[in-house]
Amino acid sequence: MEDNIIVTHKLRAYYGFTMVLDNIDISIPRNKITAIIGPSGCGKTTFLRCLNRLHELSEGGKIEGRILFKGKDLLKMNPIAVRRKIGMVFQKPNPFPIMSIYENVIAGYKLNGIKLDKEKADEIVETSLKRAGLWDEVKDSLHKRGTYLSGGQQQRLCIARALAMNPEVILMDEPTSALDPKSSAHIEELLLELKESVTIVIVTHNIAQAGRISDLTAFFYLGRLIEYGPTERIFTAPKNPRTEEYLSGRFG
Amino acid sequence: MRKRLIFDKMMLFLIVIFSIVIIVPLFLIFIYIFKEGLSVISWDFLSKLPKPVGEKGGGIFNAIVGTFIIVFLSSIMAVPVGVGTGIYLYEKKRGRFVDLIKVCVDILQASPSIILGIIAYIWIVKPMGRFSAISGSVALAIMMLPVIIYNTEESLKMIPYTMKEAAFALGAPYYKVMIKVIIPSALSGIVTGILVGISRIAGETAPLLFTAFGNPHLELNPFKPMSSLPLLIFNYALSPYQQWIKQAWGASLVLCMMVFLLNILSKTITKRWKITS
Amino acid sequence: MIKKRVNQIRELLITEASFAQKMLEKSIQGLLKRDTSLLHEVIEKDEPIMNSMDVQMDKLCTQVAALYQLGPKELRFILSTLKTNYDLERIGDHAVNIAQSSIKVIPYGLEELNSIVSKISDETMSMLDDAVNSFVNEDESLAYDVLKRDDIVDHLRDECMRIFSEKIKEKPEMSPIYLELVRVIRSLERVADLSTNIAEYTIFVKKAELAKHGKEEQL
Repeated sequence: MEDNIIVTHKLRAYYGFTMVLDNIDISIPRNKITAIIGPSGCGKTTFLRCLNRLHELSEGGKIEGRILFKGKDLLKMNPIAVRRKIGMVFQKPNPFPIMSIYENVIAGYKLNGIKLDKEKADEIVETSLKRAGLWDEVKDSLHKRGTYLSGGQQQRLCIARALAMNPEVILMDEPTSALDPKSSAHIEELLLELKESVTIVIVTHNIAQAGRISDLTAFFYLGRLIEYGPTERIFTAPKNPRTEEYLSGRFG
Repeated sequence: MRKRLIFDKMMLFLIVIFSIVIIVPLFLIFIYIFKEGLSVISWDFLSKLPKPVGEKGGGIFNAIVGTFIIVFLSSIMAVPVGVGTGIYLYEKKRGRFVDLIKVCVDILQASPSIILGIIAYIWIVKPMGRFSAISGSVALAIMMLPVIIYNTEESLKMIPYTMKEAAFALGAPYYKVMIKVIIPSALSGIVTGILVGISRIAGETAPLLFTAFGNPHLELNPFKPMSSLPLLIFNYALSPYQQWIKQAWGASLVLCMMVFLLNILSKTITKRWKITS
Repeated sequence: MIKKRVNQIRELLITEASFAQKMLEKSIQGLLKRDTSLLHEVIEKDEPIMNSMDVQMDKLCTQVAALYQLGPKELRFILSTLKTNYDLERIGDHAVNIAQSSIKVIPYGLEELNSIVSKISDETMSMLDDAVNSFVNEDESLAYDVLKRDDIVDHLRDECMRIFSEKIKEKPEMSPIYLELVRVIRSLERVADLSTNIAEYTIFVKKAELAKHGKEEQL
């Protein structure tokens, strides 16, 4: 029996009265990379933002159904507690410009009012930056502003910032779409290493990327989950003709 | 094609002419003030109190101090209210109350300054029974509000939404997101708004006419009438005494310099602290 | 874009398959009608043409795989086409082998064996024809049919072997000639095997099932 860290039951999401996700039932296994693919507007980003309840912060955002996180319905938990366990990295790298690299990494603690003594903070910063593969490049300039880094480095800084909170799941919303191919490849390698310690759910419109790094792939279309399974099977023998069409580049 | 080039050159010429038409008078005014006022400026002038009419010498120290005190009190009143309202408007974005506030702010912005002075007179001077610096500050604070509110709201709006999202995604509660991320990022814009507001009211005379009223002595108690540079300039310039008129020029120059420096300061802050997305 | 390339590949495959079939036919006809000119044609003219088509197909498939992001079915099609290409080239080789053996056998005029040789060659050629058609038309029921007929050819081969063994016993000095005939029969049997391969690829492309080695396995 697979160890599933997140299981959704009839998950529905709305913007006002418009339903954008229609009864999604999906099980995300632990310590694997699950890719969510689909054409623009299919609801994949909305789905991701339901998992850390960011969807509720949007205008008219509403969630119905159940999202079980390790057995407990996270829609009934305090959203702040949810977001400490389920982190997020966004499409456009967004380090806080008023903070240094060091401060950015531990921003999660500062924003939550958690006090850290210098030793602990130093340790967290170093560990997180190492896990994000950024330590060697910035260890001598930790007190410079985060915005002086390149795009790929900024994104890794955001990953370090998310990792610093020690989440069990990291949600990634097209994390490499704003980066050049080399930085993208760098981050893909990083994700393959990270999955040993963290479950990763990644939304991507780059089908090849999903093929390269994910263990499972979910295909969304018009707010519905059309097909979900091991990436190798989905990419060689999908059961649904829509999936076949999308993977053959015929729409999207 | 040639026609277009000619037209282009003509337009450029016109733009330059119009710019000159605008700048030159301003320039001339400033040069005039400089000329007239410079001869009066001295250390005595800046640090001594006014002497009674007829006697030589005397300075505008009380007016300078008064200006500082009145402006300071206005800021203390206007900044929290203004920044707070700006934040509120930024958060709520729409709704009946929000629209109401926006209308009020627009009205305030368009109100003639003398009306605000009269309001302060009715609200504070009359109940108190006497003129005071604080009533003047109230009038000036009301004048400052629209500028601070708009600047705060616009500066906050300039912060990209992704920054807010990133902060929320780290599990921060709403107020922490505002206090630790959004407001600090927008700080340069907010501070600029405050400085612009200050430089606006520093030279206002009408609101102070029936409120602070003016005082020939050095007064530090805000509940008493107080002198201020605009008031002093007003009084001295309209007087028949040559000496006072001269001193009015000097005071004008001082006031101009103060506002000028404030402007430079706010521009420097904007440049240095500006957050580029 | 990719559709054009896929059609190119499909057409080349049809050409290649027809050519392989023709080579085989010529070799058998040459044996049955004792026409050595046909046999020489197969060996000297046809084989080089077959090889160049083989190389061309390799190139086309590699290009498509490198340049385009293949969807699942497209991927299975390209991989299977490469395999079919390889098998067709082997079939061409077998046609050449048959021709070479036939040249040695003809002078001895063993017409009485024509009927048994025709039987097995007819069945083999029809299997090949059906297999190629099933692949090109994505006809999986035809493909399944081909898979079943492999047994028929095996039985015919066994019968041939039985007949030849008796003939060798009767006239031991003719054994080198009969050994050449055995080569011919073996080649025909291999062609039938390769035809079943092609039928298996059809099923793979259409249904993503690996009907390999007689077992069915879902991808």
